[in-house]
Amino acid sequence: MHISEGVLSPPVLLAGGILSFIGLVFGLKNLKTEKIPEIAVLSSTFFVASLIHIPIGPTSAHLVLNGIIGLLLGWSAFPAIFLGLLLQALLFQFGGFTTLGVNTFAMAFPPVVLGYIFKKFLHKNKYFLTFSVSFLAGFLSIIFSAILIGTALYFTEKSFLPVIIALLSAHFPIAIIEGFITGFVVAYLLKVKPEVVI
Amino acid sequence: MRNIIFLLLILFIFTKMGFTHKINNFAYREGNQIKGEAYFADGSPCIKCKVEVYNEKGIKILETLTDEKGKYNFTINEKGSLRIKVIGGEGHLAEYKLEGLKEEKKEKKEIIKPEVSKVSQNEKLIPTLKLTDEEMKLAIKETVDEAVKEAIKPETEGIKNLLMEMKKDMDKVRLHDIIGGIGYILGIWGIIVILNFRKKAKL
Repeated sequence: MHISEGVLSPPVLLAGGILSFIGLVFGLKNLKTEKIPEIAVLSSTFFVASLIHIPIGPTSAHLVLNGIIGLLLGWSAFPAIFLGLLLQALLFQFGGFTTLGVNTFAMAFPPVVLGYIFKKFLHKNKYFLTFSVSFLAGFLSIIFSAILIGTALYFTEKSFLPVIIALLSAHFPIAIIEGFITGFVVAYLLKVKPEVVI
Repeated sequence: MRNIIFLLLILFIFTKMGFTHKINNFAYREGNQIKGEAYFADGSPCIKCKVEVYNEKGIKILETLTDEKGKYNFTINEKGSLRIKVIGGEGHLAEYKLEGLKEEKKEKKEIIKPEVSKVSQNEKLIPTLKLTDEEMKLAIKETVDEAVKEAIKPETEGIKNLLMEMKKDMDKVRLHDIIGGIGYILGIWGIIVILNFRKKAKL
């Protein structure tokens, strides 16, 4: 889910850049010093997760793990994901520098919103509820990110539905896998170290 | 916290198994023919991807598809530099700039066919080649060029393949890049912690 350099038109890039900048400012404003080590670890998790490539059917997609980041970090997901994407562009040429804004927004915004909504339902003593809510957060983050990427591509490829369908079908299995990962990790963390989640 | 680190370590082990969707694109000339290959970061081919060729002015001059091995080739008369785009869909794109050939001042003079002239003295027909020195040089040069090209073809082919393999290897995601990236991330957040504490100390 990295849009490469030279695919998008300047207005789309600019819009993505501005939206991501707002998210970054928000994220850095709300930063708690105690949370920073956690952000750093999740930031590197995101950085590495994109290298894990799961072949399913004709296409293959990679893990994103933005659902976990949104649920655990809230607005700080923006700087965490931004830094991960920046280094991916720098070291592996995944995505690109001009598309950094669009990519950051597409991957950070859905989990932040979903995390905000779902966080209320997380409860230490209700394992099943916590698991299912986290599963949904992980699952929907990928789906909405794919839709946002498809929307950004729409302005250049001019074919909305085929792109969206291709993106969704490629990411649907990933979304399920990420749902499970998010569910297990968050439920487990809540049990053994609740202060990380809340 | 320890669990997240544990998760990170597990992910780490997995990274050796697969890589993302970044496309690499590489092409070279062979006379009028241009051969190229497009492959993903893990070296697997980009099958049936759209290939677009643009000339120096940015005008699209050609469109083709890659084959099952991710290879493409086309013939072109354009001598200038070319930009070859491979589009993998879903926002993946790789561009390769192929340098233009140097404009050789090849005013191909038609080599004059041997004229048959009558030599009156012997009253026999003796074919003579009426070639100036320059034309002679050109004709020799052309023949030699062709012969040399033919002779070194097997070797150049081997070198090209080797280059391709090396390039593929270089484009792969390396473990030291991954470790370096994680180091950068932790370092940058460390700096943010320091700055935050300084701010608090001032207050």
